[in-house]
Amino acid sequence: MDCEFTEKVSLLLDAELPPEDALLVTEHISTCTACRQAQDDFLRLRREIKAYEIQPQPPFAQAGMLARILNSEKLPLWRRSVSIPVPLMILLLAIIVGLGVWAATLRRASGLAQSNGAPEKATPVKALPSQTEVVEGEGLDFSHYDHGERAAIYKVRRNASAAHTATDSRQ
Amino acid sequence: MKARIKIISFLFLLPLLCASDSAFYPSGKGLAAASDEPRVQFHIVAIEEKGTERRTLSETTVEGPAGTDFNVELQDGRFSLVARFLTDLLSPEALKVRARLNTRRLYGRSEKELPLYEEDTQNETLQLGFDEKIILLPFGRGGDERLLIEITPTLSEKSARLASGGLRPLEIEIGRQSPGGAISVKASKTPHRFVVEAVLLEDGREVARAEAPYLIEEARELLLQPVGDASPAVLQHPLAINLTLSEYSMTRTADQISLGFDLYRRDAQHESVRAAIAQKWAGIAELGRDLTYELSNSFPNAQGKKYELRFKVKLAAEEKAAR
Repeated sequence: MDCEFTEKVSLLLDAELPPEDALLVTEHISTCTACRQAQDDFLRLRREIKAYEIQPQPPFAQAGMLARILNSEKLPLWRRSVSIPVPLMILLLAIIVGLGVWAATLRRASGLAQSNGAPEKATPVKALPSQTEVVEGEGLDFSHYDHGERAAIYKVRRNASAAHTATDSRQ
Repeated sequence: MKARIKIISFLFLLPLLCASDSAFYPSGKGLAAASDEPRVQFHIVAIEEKGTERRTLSETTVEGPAGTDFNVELQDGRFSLVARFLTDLLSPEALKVRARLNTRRLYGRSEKELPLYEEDTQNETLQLGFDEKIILLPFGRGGDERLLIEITPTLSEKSARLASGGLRPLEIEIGRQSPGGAISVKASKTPHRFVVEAVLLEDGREVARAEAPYLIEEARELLLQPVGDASPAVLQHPLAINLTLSEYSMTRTADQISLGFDLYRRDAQHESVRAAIAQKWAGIAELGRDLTYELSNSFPNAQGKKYELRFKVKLAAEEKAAR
């Protein structure tokens, strides 16, 4: 909207321009993307206002409605609000506090059992699959070579082909 | 006239120059072959293999006197390999390579969220010709995409001595470094060959002895033979020692080496019958000096006599020559 003709577009739509200027602006709109966009926006706004004009509203309501239409862009998530009835809010808070107290009680009981020297219950070892345990290191990542096999070492003739295993001669 | 003399002289000298080329400019190979102090080069290349495609990840050359050892190490966030190679030149055509592979792989986590590792150790001894190479597969043979490390030995063409007369030190040349240094090579040169002398003393008198050449980190049995006027206890039950040398360290005033041994009493009549006198004994010996163990409490039928086992570890002659 940085074209100097943009203001005249509004005047053109309102038929407030002299005929010479109107012709000039009309020709300009055919070549200027910004002014064409402005014309579309003005026309859309006008259509929406007309749609609201069907129901008679008090002047202050019309002004509010117009402001809402003009600010009809989507609000970011952090600016939106949700209205919750007060009893529901109290219930949610009570549930959260209850869960916190329950977790703290469990942790305390576990700590007491260990400090009293109670034999720790033997738990079976749960070995997670190695694929899920990849720790990113610097440089090469060997994980795509690793299929869990044992390392192997052998000797070959120097002129042996890439298929080393064919001439494997383990000592 | 002068020009004709020059041409005749040139034609006369030309065959002499051609014939004497090798004498004036002997090839490095000739030098190395003629030298009593051969040097060996190991070309170590890490290669990624995908089907028929091969990509070089790192490349290192280790060059040093015969008996140069090296480590190839791989390390990332969840896998590590330390491959130690002890090398010995058996002849101008053959090498003995003793490889020890230690792998450590993150396997998962316990219920307590502690890391669990899968560890493995392998020992392999390879007799290697200079027309052969070693293939090390850190992750085994499987998979379409695999990592392999090729180790190619050659007799070095470099002279063993510097112009100053001193020994040429070992050299490591990094041709291509792996990304992030995930693959590394280390090399060192320490003596490998020793002579071990073991003597059994009875009340201070030598009654049995044995001497044998030893290679570091390789177990060998010493059989003590009775000498002089050994008592019947020694004659009927000669000793056998299963001994291993390891961890050579250069210290003052004398270099040191660790030894570990098991001691057995044999039956002179029945070779296969053995009784253990001592197991997993160990010590640190200074080269060329005595290391003595008191056996009186362990020796059967000692009958009040004092028995001692005395070791002396010396550098082998070829190691002395190479210093």
